[in-house]
Amino acid sequence: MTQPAHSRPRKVSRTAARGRPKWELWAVLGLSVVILAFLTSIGSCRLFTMVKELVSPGARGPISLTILHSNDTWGYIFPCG
Amino acid sequence: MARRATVIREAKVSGKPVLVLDAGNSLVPIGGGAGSNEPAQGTRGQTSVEALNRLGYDAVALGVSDALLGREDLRKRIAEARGFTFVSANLLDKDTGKLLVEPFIIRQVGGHRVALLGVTGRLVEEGRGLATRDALETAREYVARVQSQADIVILLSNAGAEVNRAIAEQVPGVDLIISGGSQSQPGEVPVGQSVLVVQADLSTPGDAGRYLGRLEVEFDYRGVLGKHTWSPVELGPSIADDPGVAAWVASLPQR
Repeated sequence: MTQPAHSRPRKVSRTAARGRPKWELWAVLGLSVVILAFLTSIGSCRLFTMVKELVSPGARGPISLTILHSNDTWGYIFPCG
Repeated sequence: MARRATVIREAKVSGKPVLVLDAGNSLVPIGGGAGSNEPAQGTRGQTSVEALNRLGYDAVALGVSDALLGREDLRKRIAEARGFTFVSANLLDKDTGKLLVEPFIIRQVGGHRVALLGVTGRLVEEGRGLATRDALETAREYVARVQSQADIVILLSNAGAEVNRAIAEQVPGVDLIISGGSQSQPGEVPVGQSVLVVQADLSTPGDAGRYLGRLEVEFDYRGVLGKHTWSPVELGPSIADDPGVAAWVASLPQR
């Protein structure tokens, strides 16, 4: 009598079973250390500002704007520049 | 006019966000022009609106001298605006009590929402179908209303220096006042740490529109006024005429 395929014990190599999760764990740990080092280096004030910028509704960052404005031109065409 | 067009066009091609604004009294000469033969007189401000259309303005406040056109002619001029919006939060139809134009518009500029709110000076004579509400009270009401919709609030006001100062000091949320009217002087006036009042010109009969104000300004991520420089641009002969606008001006009946 043949056993159904799904119940057959699979042969899994030790490297595949343990090596990959270990590598991923180290990668996550490494990345966390890099992020923490970065956050520490920029200081708490800047960090607070950055977070505020991210959560501030509407505004996307500082803006540099040119405003040209006139007043009381009275509809003059000819004497106007 | 053609020189003003050149300055505006050159600013717009620089790549930096640009707003082109007028604080009001842009349609007809005060007192009918006192002997001048400006096309705005004969056309009841039609050439003025056409000029504003061609120059690429964003928002234009309605002023006391504009109201001298009377309600019916002013409605016609408002309908002729293309690409810019007339704003006033306190100029009313005297019969209905309703606003004649939009009180404000919101423009998206560089990721910020900029409110452009208009305030008209008090009408001494209200016999032309128009009336005004108190400018300070109007500013108080509408600035509170636009704050949830905008990061930066710019007021276009011809209500006079005293009223502008009162607004700057008493109405929280205003960042910048573009001023006009005969009761205030050209220049820049910082009020406190966070509000700036600028005015380009002080017109006299026969001499109007010779200056354009140029404000280079930074706002931080919250829309708070930062570094700025202001200068009047004299529209003298050193500035070349914009060919398109010059051709249009040349096509108008000469005085």
